[in-house]
Formats: sequence, structure tokens, C-alpha cells
Amino acid sequence: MSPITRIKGGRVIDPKNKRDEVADLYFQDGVIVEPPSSDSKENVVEIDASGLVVTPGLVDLHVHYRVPGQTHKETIQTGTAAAAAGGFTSVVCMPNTSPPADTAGTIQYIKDAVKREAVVHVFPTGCITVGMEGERLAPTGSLRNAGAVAISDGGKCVQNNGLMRRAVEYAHMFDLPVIDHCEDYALSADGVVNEGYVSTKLGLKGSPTEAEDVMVSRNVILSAKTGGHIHLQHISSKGAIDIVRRAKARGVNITAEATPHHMSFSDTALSEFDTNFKMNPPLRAEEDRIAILDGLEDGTIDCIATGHAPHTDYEKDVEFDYAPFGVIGLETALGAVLGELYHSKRLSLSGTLSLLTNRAADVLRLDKGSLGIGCDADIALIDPDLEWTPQGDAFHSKSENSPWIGRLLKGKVVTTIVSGKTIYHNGSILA
Amino acid sequence: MPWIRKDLISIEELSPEEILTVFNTAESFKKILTRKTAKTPALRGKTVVNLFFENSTRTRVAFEMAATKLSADVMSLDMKTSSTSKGETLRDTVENIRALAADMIVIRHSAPGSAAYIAKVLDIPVLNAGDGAHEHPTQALLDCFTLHEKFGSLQGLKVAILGDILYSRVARSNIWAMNKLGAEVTLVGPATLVPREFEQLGVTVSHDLKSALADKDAVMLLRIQHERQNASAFPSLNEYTRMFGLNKTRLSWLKENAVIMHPGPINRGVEIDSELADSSQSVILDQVTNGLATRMAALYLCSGGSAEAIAS
Amino acid sequence: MTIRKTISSQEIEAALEQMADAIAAAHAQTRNLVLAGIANGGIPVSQRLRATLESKHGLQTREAIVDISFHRDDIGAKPIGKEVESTQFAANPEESTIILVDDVLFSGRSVRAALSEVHALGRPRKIELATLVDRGNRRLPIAPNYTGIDFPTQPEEKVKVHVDPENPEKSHIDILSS
Repeated sequence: MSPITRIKGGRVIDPKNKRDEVADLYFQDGVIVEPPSSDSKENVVEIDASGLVVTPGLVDLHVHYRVPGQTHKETIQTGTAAAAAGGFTSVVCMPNTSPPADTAGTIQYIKDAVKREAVVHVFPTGCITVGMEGERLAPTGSLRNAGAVAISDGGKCVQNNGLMRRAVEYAHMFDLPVIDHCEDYALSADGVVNEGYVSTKLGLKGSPTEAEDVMVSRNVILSAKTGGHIHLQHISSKGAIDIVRRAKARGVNITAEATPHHMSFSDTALSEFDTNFKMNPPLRAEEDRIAILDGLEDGTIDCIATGHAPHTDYEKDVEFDYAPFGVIGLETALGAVLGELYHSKRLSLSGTLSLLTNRAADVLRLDKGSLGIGCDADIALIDPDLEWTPQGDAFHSKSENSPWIGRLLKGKVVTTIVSGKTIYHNGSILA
Repeated sequence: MPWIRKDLISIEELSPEEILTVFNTAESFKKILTRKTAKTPALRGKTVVNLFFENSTRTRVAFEMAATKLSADVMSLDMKTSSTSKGETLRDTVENIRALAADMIVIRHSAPGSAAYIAKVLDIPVLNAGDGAHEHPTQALLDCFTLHEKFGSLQGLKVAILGDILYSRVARSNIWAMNKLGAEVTLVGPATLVPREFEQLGVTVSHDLKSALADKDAVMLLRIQHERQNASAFPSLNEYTRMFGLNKTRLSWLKENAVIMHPGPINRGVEIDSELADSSQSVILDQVTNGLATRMAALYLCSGGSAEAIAS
Repeated sequence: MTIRKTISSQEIEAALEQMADAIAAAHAQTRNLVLAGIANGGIPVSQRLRATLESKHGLQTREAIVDISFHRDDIGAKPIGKEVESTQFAANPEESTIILVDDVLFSGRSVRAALSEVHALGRPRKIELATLVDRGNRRLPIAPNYTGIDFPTQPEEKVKVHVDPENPEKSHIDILSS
């Protein structure tokens, strides 16, 4: 047996087990253990956590790791380093790689890369349709058997409602959730920003919230029809949140996530044509942003996911219309979320962290996000009051496309422990 | 007032005083244009490069002529056939042109924000000759200069802008300029081309032509850009003409001496009856002449760079 | 900067009168005499001279403004600091004798620019130069025909002329040193 590690004197917040107290936390051989009895002769290694919050390692259901095929943007090594630097110990990666993860072989390729390079737990997903083209179902069962925890068409949305119905019905047979990016392409047209005052003023093509609302409704209807679980990604409109709220009230099997950037910014942040504010769905109006915070507060939205989407500077440093959608978010999520929910006094610290830990894990039934005895020793030591300003070249991600560069955040991870091993401490990856 | 801008990117960023400075300068150039030798040495030795990523003979020629009248060397590059089609980024393209000793750049591009983007990249003056549906500042300056000449001031003037507003940079720039100069603007056209969102820019939105034209001092017609509309915003050009085209009867709904404006190129028989375009109430050709003087003013004023750039 | 010397309104009035006397003596028989103020400082000086020529000598002159904005040799080197005051000629410059009027003669660059501007309009019979203050430090081969006040200065000094045609008693000239 290896020595026991004692995380000493921190405020242990474990929302899953409704725990919030100053206490010592023990782990051994990568799992959380009971405190040793007072007459125990075992070696104890100590980590001083006084003044810090000890919480389950954060869980992100939505990252793009670009493996295989686009390793100039991110690799499993840099992507998981960014996760650890943000306090995340488990991430779910999207299948919109190159080629897309629509075969068991590609899932295996990703798992091999994870085994070689990853410093946090990585859960792959497979495609809903072949090549994410929205025309034929990908081999869902084989993807599940290869290790996919859900199916999704990444940043794409299956437009054919009949095909989507089959996908949900079929995946439900394997108890596999379907993750959807909700966007009706005929309504969003070539929109690059939210349709509203800002699109009108800047002359940029607008994508209306209704493009999202229509597909959220579609998914609610299909989930109700099939009983299959559909998880709605980066929900961003007031209308969509209202649809989800009412669907949940009548027991429809849907879940939803929101991103830190949609929680923090409205489309008015775009006045300078800064492509680090270009994402899909676009930043919405202020009333939508407030609706997201309300939805997180009342539980309509199940969890927070970053949608971490790395793009190189030369890909983003172009005309706004031509820049790719998406921003990175793993390293700034904790500070941004604490700011909008905890420091703003909307939620308790435990309630806030819950949205980044157990409630995220529960959506896909991942055995994560808990500090219960016997659970993996995935732990984040955080300082919720530490003020810091993100800088592009300080990110561990291979890309720097962040809207938070130069903006003050309050709250940061100090130490990240994955399966009992300290991976990150004070700005450095130790693995 | 003194002009301290390196670039002319949008009307949104200009103060009313700055707009009047452009008018004042344009007036001087207009006088010079009537001289026997209609040319000044103001920009002698400077090279103005017109970068046109989108076709526009009219605006390109107006800028070429303006630069020539200021004694600048001028070069126009048709970027549609250039290195961008080989995959070069806009930043690389403009940095290369800068390295070839360009002193000023005039850019026309289909992407909103592209002019602001290269103005940030480059230390030399950049003039926006139209960036997507965002802004076309020199067009609004010449339009408002024309009204300023005609009416003495835009204060209290009632102007209707009729046509394809949604996709129009001309409309956006004119809305800013007219509002800043104290005119009242009404936008009119089909609901699909004149969305309610524009009300937030401080204008009235109408889909009823008769009430929108009533008591207006000027009507500005915008070209129906049917070549741009992939998803049709109205049933047909014929239907548009029947519902919103300007004809003699509809002209009578305006004030008696109201003027007709059009940034061109005109679709005769579509947005305007052919005879009205040539009528005494039309100031369409004044707009063209004023376009030359206004662009001379814009080039001249921006040529000095910004106060900060000089200080540093 | 501190004021090294102030020239009073009485001295200015005397200088203007002496300039008018000299102009009247030289141009008693000249037809189409134009006094062209170089914008902006030369305009009030030109107005004062025209008024004196008429009241004291009965000499009618035509008014003109010469704007040198577009002929400056430093365009593009700094922001456009002043608004354009359009060049205006009441008479046809081709058949005129033009006296360019400026408040201060320094390097001679403004006069060079004014000559270019006048020639863009036509070919006058003759051009002369009148200046209220000649502060020296010429950089171009230019000399005035009529000078009100000779006041040698250092190049880094500033000469601020305030000539008020409405209230001549408020006119003054400050010479500022750093």
C-alpha cells in the first residue's frame, strides 16, 4: 500500500454528498478513503489546504480536442493540460474531428492518444450521422462498444427530423444519450452574430434565437415521443430556456448545459468586430443572458460546459465573417462562473460548484464529481477569491482564442489532483 | 474643428462637428473643381492604393478621380483576381501593399468590419469604401453634403430612405449621419427588407409608402440588390415596383420641392420610374459631383494621420 | 512660454498706416488692385489696410482671400490642424495686381504656398507682398515689398498677432519666449 495523503485544513465542499465543512480529506491509491484510525501506523503525506476550498475535480461535458486531424489547434496533451489548469479532471470530447469520430476505429484512435498524452480523464463521444453529414446514421452500437459515452454531431445539428427521431430511438436502445447543437439552418441562414440591435448596427448577418428555439422544441418533442435522453448543448436563448423549463415540468427526458461565455457576455461585447467573441450559438441579448443565469439558478439548466473550441491566432485573425466559430474556456470557466453565480450572490458556493461537478457528471451518468468514500481522488483545490487577469500566452491550451484575455476574474484553481496524483499546482503542469 | 483621425471607417464614430468639417473642406474642393486647372497639389508625392475586393466601378472611379485631383499617385487593385484567391489572408495582403510604400489605402470589402480590421493592422490612413452591410461613410457624407447644400442644413429635415435597408451599408451610414445632423429619418420598404430592429438606431420604420412619404423633404432610393438575395425577401421585382417603386403619383405624396436621391447604380423601372430619375427634382447627378469633392476632402483630411500617431 | 515683448495697438495702427501710405504711393495709378489676405492671419490685416487705403487715400481695392491649405509642404506629416478657408477673388486674378497680405513673415513657406495657389487660378500682372511683422529667419528667397514692423526674433520664439478690425484698440502682438 502507498502512503495515505491528507488534504489538511481546507473547506471541503462536496455538493453530491451535501457536505460543506472545514475538514481533512484523505485518499490512498487514487481513491478517497476514510480517515485513518488514531492508532494507525500508516505513513501520511500532507497537502496544506488551509484557506482553500477542496472540491471534486470539475467536469466538462463539452470540449473540442481536435484529435485526430487538427493538432495545430489542440492536442490531447495541451487540451488536458488546459483542463487541469482550470480545475477540470474529467472532460467529454466532441466527435467533430478530422475525420469525424463516426467509427469504432476513430474512437479507439482517440483513446490511444488519451492513454499516451492525457493528464485528466477524457470521455469520447461518437457521431450521430456518418461524417456528421446528417444523412445516414453512424454505427451507434459499435461506437458505444468502443467507448463513446454519448453520440453527437459536434457543432452540427441534424436537420432531418425523421432521421433525428431514428437516431434518438436507436440510441435509447443502448441507453446512450444524444447530444445536440440546436440550430435550424434555414433560420440561422449564414448568421454570424445574434440577430438584433448589434447585427443591425454592424451589418453582420444575424442568426435569430428562433433558429435555436425551433430545434430545442423539436428535441423536446422527439424525446417525449421516444423516451430517449437528449442533452441540449450551450443553450443560449430565453425562449429555449422557457421551452426546456416547461418540458422538464412534465417529465421529458432532456437536459441542458450553458457556457460561461453566454453567461458572461451579451452581443454588445462585439462592437469591435473582435473574433474572440464569435461563437455559435452567438452571444445573445442581455435578456437572454439573464435568462441563462435564472435557468441555472432554478435548475432548468442542468450544468455548465465550456464548449472549449481552440482555434489558432492565424485562423481567428481574419475578417469577422471568415473567422471560425468558437472560443476556448477551460482555464477561465471557474473564475467566470464564480463571478456570475457566486460572487453575484445568486447561488451559494456549493450550489455554484455543483453545476461544474456532480450535476455535470450526472447528465451523462459519469461516475465523477463526488468526494464520497471510494470515489476517484479527482480533487480541485481552489481559491474562490483570488483575482487574476488571463493573458493569452499564459494559457496551457495550444490556442489563445479567449474573450477573457485582459479581463479581471475572481476565483482560480490552485491545485488539481487526478486519481490521487497532483497534476497542476500554481500555474504549472507537474505531470 | 481640427481633424485628428488617421482613418475614415464609419460615420458612427464621427461627431457632428467632424462631419461639418468634411462638408467645409468639400466646399473648398468643389470650388477648385470649377477652376481652369481643376487640380491641387495637396497630396503630391503620396500614393493612394484602392483595394477593391468587391466590384464597384462607380466608387472606385470616384476615389481614383479624387486622388488624381489631389495630385496623388493612385493605383487600383482588383483583389478578386489577386492573391486572396490563392489563399492569402487580408492581413498579409495589406501588409505587403504597405511594404510597397503605399501612403493611404481605400478599401472595399464584402465583410463587415474589414476596414476597421486593416486600420488596426496598418499605421497608414485607411478609408472605408464600403464594408459589407456595415458602413459606406463617404457615400453618406456626399449624400448629406448634397442635402446640406440644397437646404442649408439638415436640422429638422425629414428624409425617407426607401428600399433594401437590411443589406444596405448606405442606409446605415446615412442613418448615423442624418441623425447626428438633426434630420428625422423614416425607413420604408417591405417588412423583410426593413426590419423593426432598425428602430433602435433612432429612426421610424414604416411599411406603408404613402404615410412614410408624406411631408418629406427628400427621399433616398436604395438599389434593390436582387443579385445579393439568395433567399428571396420579396416575391419579384415586378411586385416590388408595384408596391414600393417611386412613380409620379407617389412623388406627389412628398413635399412640393422634395428632392430625389439615389446612390446609384439605378435600376430604371424598378425602384424609380425612368422619367423621375431625370426630373428637375432629382439630385442624382449632384450626388455624383459632390462624391468627388467629398472624397477629396476625406483623403485630404485623413492624410495627416492621427495626433497620437504623430506624438509617438 | 513667457511674453518677451508686447506691441501695442497704437504701434500696430501706426504700422498699418505707414504700410497704407507706401501702398498708396506705389499704386496711385494701378488698375484692378487686389489685396489678398493669406488665410487666416492675413485676412484682418488685409481688411484694415483696405479700409485705411480707402478712407485716407481714396484708393479703392478689391478683396481676396488666399487659402494655402492645399499647397503646404507638410501635408501628410501631421494632422490637419485648421479648417479650410476657401480662396476667393472678387476680381479676375488674370488682370490684377495682387498684394498678398500676411500678419507675420517668417520662413517664407506660406508666401511660397500662396504664390502657388494664386497661380492655380491664373497669371496676374504683378504680385507684391505686404506683412505686418517681419520676424526674420527666412528659409526661402522671399522679401516683402511693404513691412509694418521689423522685429528680429529667435527661430524658437512665437509671434502671436491679434488684429481686430472691429475694435482696433484691442489689437496687440505678443512675442513669446520659452
